[in-house]
Amino acid sequence: MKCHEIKYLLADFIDGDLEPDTQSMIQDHLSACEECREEYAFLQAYKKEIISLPAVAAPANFLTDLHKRLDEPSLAEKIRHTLFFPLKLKLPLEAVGVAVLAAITILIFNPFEMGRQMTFQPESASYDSDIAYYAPEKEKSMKRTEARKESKLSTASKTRLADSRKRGAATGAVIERKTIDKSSGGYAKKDRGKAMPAYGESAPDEIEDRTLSDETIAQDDSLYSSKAIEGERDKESSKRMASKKAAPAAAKNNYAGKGAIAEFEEIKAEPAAPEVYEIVLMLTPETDKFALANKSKSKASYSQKLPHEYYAKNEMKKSDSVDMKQKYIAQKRSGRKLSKESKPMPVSIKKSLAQIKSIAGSLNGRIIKRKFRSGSSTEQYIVLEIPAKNYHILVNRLNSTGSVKKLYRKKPVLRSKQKVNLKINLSY
Amino acid sequence: MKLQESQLEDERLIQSFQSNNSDAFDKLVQKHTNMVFNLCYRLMGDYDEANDCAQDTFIKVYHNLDRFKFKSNFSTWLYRIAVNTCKNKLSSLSSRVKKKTLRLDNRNDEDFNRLSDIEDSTFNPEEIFEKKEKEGIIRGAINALPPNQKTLIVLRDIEGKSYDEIAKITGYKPGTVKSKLARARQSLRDRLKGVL
Repeated sequence: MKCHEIKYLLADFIDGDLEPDTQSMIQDHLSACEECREEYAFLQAYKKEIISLPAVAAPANFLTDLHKRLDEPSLAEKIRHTLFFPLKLKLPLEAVGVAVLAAITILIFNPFEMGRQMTFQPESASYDSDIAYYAPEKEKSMKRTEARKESKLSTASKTRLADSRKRGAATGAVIERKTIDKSSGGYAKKDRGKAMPAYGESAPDEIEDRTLSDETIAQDDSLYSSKAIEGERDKESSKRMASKKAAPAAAKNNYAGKGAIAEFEEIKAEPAAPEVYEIVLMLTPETDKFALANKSKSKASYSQKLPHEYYAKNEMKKSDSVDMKQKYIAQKRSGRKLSKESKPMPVSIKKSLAQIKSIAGSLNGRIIKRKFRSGSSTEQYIVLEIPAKNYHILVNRLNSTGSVKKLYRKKPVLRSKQKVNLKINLSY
Repeated sequence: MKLQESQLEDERLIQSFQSNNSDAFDKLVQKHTNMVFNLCYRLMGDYDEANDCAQDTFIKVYHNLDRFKFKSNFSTWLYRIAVNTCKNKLSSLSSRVKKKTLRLDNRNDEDFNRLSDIEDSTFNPEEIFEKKEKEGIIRGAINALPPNQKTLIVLRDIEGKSYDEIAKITGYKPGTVKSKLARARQSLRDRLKGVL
């Protein structure tokens, strides 16, 4: 046997737990191997010392302490006892505590009110603009409904509304009849279906009616004057129920019902004066080249009147473009106003967009978003943010460029920040 | 014979306890207190820790004695519970931190005083002091072993248990017990050079 095998068995050899043959084999090895003899000596001393290690006496009150611990209730028992006993006292207190917590949670988070607010969100894009522009009779019913609702406003609210109208009339902006267009792609969606009557699409005369001329403003003002409201009230008292049903019904027919109902419910609330509009300009090119007349530096060129003289019944011929361009450049250099006969000159699309941006900048506005046509570097949408009071001026200035063929406008619902969609067809 | 009588007495007490005789449990505790306490003391190396472990061991016995089916000796079962209780406590974080801060030659004075209460026939102060010094070093060396090796050393070399019994208590195979014991003794030899 080798030394490591002997060492492995030495402890049992000392204890006498080995078979006689193994014992004698180890004995013979020990007589010959000094290293194993040293190991044997150590193990002997070790065994002697370790067995003689004195025992330790347990504490005298070991059993008493053990019983104390056995009689102690477990943690679960302690918790149960603390929470529920005495029953008569603790259960009512705990019920009250739970009710108070629930009430606080409801007050803080208001889950019911949140749900109600969400239903106000119209599912589709702006709808009342469709009412306004699809059919005049529907617009009338909307006007009647608004008049009826405004009659229910408090005196202070009416005064505030009248003031805002006056301010709006001064700057050329009508602000109380605007709706929010939630989707920037609203135009795209609407264009897919049956085309909505475009703003000024059919004839220049219609454009005149729809654009924010003084006549239009005056008409709106008259509608919301106190006399008009009273007159409306008298005339429409018998037809209120019918109009009430008709207007939301009409809305429902055209859109998701929730949006229409939400719009009417929103009117009930006292409208807050809008501060900023978001204008979404959708550029729809008819040709590859866009024409946008250079912005005149003269203030006089931005009159409140719509430069309807720029819209001609007869469309500009392409063959005239070169002559027209030369004439236009000459006029600009001379500083003269664009006359009735002057027509827009073709310029690059970049310049056109730069002009739009400069117009927005001059009205304390800014571009907040841009979307490009797929596969090209040409912009399709530009989202502008301008103060509400400058909205009318922006529309006028865009019109005054002379190249805006179509201008769509959506009416936002009164909110602190309304989004207005303007679709601009820049024509050559 | 003594061993067999002891085992028969244990079985009788257990059956009495299972028949709802609470006094039987007290008698079992009194019979095995010192054995369990010393085992815990040798494994933990600290008197108070040993007291806690011994108490925990008997609490576990109390809650599980109804399910004891006499497949093994009660003492083997009791040893197994005590060893596992001490092992769990040793492997707990607080115990490991405590052990790291304890030096090998640093005796617990309270333990030293308790040891001195044991009667000794030789009234030679120097011899007694040297003896206690040596015992402290040996205890320290055993305490410094890894828990598995320490358990085997205590069960085999101090308690005198057989390899089969140690295998039942620890759950190792007998061959594994022998090889681990040989390794533990080799470690002790290295630590106790010059002392023994």
